[in-house]
Amino acid sequence: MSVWSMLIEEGLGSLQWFFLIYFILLNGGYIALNIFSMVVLQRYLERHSMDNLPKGHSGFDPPISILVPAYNEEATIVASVRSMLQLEYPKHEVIVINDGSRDDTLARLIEEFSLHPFPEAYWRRLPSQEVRGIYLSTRHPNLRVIDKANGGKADALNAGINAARYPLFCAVDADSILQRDSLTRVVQPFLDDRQTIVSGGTVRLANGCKVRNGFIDEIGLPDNMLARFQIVEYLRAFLFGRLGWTPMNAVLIISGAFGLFRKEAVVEVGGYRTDTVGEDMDLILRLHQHYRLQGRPYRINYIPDPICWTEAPESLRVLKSQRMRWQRGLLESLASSWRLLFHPRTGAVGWFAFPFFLIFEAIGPLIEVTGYVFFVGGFLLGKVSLDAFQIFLFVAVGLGILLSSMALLLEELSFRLYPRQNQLAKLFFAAIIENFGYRQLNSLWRFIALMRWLSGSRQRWGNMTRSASWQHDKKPT
Amino acid sequence: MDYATPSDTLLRLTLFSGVAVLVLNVLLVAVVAFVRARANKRARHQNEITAIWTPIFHRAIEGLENPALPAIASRDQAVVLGLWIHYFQYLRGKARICLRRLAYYIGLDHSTAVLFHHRNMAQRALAVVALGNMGTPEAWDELVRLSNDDNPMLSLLAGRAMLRINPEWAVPILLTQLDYRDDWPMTRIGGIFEEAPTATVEPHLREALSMSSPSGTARILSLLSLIHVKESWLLLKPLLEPHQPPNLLAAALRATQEPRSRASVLLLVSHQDWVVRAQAASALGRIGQPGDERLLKEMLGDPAWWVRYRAACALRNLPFVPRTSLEELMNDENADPFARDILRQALAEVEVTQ
Repeated sequence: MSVWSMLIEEGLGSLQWFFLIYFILLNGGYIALNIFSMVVLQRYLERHSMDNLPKGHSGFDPPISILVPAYNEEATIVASVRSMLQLEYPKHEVIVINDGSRDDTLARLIEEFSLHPFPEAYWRRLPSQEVRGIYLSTRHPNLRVIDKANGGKADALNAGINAARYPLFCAVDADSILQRDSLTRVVQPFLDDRQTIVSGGTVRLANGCKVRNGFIDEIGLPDNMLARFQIVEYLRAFLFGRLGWTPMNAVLIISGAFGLFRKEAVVEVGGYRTDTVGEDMDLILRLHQHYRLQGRPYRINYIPDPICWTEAPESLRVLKSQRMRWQRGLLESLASSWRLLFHPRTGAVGWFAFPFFLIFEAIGPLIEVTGYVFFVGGFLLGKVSLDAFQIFLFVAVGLGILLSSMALLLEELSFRLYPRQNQLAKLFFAAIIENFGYRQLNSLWRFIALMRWLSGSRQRWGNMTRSASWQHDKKPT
Repeated sequence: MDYATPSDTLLRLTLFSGVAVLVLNVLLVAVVAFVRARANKRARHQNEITAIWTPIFHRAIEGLENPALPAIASRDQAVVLGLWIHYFQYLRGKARICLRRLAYYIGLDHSTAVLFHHRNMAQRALAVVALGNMGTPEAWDELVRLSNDDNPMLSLLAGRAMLRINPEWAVPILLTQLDYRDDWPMTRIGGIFEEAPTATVEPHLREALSMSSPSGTARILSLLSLIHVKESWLLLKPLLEPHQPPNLLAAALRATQEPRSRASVLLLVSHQDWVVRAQAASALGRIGQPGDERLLKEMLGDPAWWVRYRAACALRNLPFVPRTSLEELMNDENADPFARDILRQALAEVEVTQ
């Protein structure tokens, strides 16, 4: 045997160990998060089982400004705004920011809500594209619409923050479906702890659900397998991916689809950054950095209650675009807040959450894809035996199913949103099947996004094609 | 090449892990199925208990005798107690008395005694609420102890139970605690004090305000919007002194409702903290007199947006300020553009909604 082949074999042997250790750390980390989440969830449910006793005095609830950035949303905007106006909360205003839509979004709003031009003394605390006009509804005095030049979601949110009258603002996607009590639930951390600056909740998928008057009427599962995989994925991401970090005050992501913020805290860090596609995560990281480095007490809270529903892509093309955008957003956010990493004052954020996201979420796809190539390539070239190949596949799939099953257990212990036996069976089936192709495909897309980001290419926005099947009163399965 | 054969330590280890994961997966599926079955069974049982006790509570509320009352199994105590609390909170007067009588008759007082020491917080909370609803004076000492508990939810529930048992005793204790319990959400405190008789709260409120820390005073001041205090201006006078901390001044200004506080408010319109200035403008909007119009117009040019806005709203709302004078200012090209813009907005807010 030549020196070269000995070296190659030595290297391959070491790589095997590397992949195994990475694999153990990754799954061990997720299992640990899962266990934390179970404890947190149990405490949370116990604590909030008596939420209405004693009933609060509504006069003391902090008023909330709901900010709804809208770009070409003529099909859904009226129903969304109507449902937001009907939310059960003592005092809230809805501010729709028409971000230079090219369709009839503004016209639909003007017509439906009797909007009139309003001479607002607009306070430009955060920079944004030019505001062309502000409208006030004559029928709903708590509804205003800002018409501005196109600048993206983050820019629209900054304009909305400028116009917000109340100390808390809730950033909501125009196509999000909220629960009637979404605000009452998400505001709870602000009432319980005055140091709270952000609070977010669980986002669930509306595919397969029946929607009436802008609210979820009946929860169901979609027929589309891709959407069903994403339901399991969302359960994993929210029920333990975020809840597990909450006790350490190290939640790094609050979904852009629904999050409640203390306005002054966001203004203090300069609002949303407009040069990233991951503006939601970027803002949370900057808030962590700002408060931690200044040694100021704060809390970023996450509540497990399902408070917001959104539609998942049902085609591979749209899903690919979404996942690549998310990956790029993650990379940009981590890169811009790198000072958090192992900084002596950043606590659990800098020492646990940030490295975890960096190694397993940001660089993870590179290691995962290399691992797949190593094993498949090695097997095809006869460098990895069939037994070894099968055993690694067996463990990888087993652990994938285990994490999803744990998320299903969390769901079962808490909200049980899918009450029928066949729904549970279908979710378990999806949790198994997703390991054969779907997860690998996700890793590949994220790997491509990582490579593109490293090579410095710019992100092109993909169009999110929404079928909005729930709008047609489709029967849930 | 040895490393890729199953005899390898690495592969053995991996295989062993895989088997362990497989077993765990099977176990998890079983656990989920078990949890689901148990939850369904529990829900069915709860429905059965509810179906049995609902007509009994209905008859009791109407003042009718219940011919036969079933015994409450220990595992059903919490369900029956929860149902009883549910009815109790929506009733008033005689119906409440009837429900209380029934509670003692069926032994719910014993159930609460058991659940009060339960390790599950939700069950303890049920017991605390029930003790208050039943007006059990024997539980007083334990409730006072619990009102000092670190858990804000349990301590607040204990506070409300105390208030229901004996408001005269409970109010001073709760107001003292309010001074340092900044973990008690004001919305819930408001809900509790809403139930208390104003005549009972008022004297204690005066006393608490004179003895509390600045942050405690600010919280107690919020209660003034719920409880009508006679001659509150006397109470607020020392709190509206310019040397007080800004958060306290803002709270005192928010509570200002009487014209006799005007002199104190006028001293604060040029305070260095904009939050205080904004609240002073709002207060003038409630209690201002004709001479204050000029001052409020000056505030329309304040560097802080919120001060300008509050001043504009105050001018708009004061009955003695003619709209024509505001329109003149709004159209005066020599006037401060900030003042004109904010005034235009404040007036439009009313116009558009009319």
